[in-house]
Amino acid sequence: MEYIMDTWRELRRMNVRQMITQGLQLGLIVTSALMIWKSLMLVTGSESPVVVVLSGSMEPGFYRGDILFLNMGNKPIRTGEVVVFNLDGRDIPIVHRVIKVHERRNGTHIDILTKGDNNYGDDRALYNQGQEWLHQHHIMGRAVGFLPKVGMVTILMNDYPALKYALIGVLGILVLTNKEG
Amino acid sequence: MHSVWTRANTVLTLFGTVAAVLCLLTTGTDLLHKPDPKVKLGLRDVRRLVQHNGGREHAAVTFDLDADLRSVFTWNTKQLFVYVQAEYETSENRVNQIVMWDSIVQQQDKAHVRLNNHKTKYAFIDPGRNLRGRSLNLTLVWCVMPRVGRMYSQQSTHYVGKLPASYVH
Repeated sequence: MEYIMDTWRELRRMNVRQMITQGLQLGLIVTSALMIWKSLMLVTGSESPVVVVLSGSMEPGFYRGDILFLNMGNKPIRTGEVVVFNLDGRDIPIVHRVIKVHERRNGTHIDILTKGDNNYGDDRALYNQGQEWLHQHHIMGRAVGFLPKVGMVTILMNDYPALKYALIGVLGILVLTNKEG
Repeated sequence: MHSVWTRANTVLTLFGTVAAVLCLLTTGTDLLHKPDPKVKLGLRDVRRLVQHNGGREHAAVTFDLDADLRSVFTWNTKQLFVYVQAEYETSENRVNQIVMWDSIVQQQDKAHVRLNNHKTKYAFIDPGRNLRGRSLNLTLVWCVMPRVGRMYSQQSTHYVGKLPASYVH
């Protein structure tokens, strides 16, 4: 409580120039983060260079909360690759392994079937009605790197949105009242 | 200057930096590892080769596998995802890969896989009528899934001859 009163008194003591400076610093931090994210997208060629595993369908390899680093690259999709794909009309990406590939001679068309390591059957049950195969445009990236558990924070923030607002609020206040800037 | 928040900030930043460097070094050690796998893989029997409605061909085969993958494990290996796939070419498709069997190996001492006359887990189905008389490669692939860092896979391909020239019921 004491800390909140001190912070409030400090905020009121700042003049306009100081407030603008602090606001700019906050803006710089946010845009730097955005720049790093966008450059990662360019470098990896993937729309989503880092994803958090959301389900247990790839256990015991990947658990909920694990982080995967994705790369797209130009090499054609082959079996065994752990790919992240988006089905038409759905926005939650799925991370599963490719188990069948049929690629046409001229390289223009490829049929892909995926399956979660921990699932009994292949993903045809997940695909849209009447869809038997995935194609190149469904694939958003291949997993090339792995970091355990670190993504749990994202899952918690999704399950408890109050946590997300609280975290952003605290960080915002800390940056705005940072006197070393 | 020395408030709780400043100290917490410094400690957490240091922790994050050290953890990141350690992770990079850990996954770097995998690059120095030289595995020595010994793989014997063959097609044992073609029990059925039939055509289904819609012009697909389906083969029910069995295979033999003797794979010593114990040397593939490093201290940074969490598990091996091991699978056997059939590879062949057709006039329409330059690449056909069909995973017939897979297994997860979580411990190094269980990494010597021996399968005899083993049935496939997943159906060997071609979307067309391309299996009769087809030259077949069987490939064993092991995907090394790390505790931290880079995931990679290696494989061993074996040419196993041709599928029967006519249907087998």
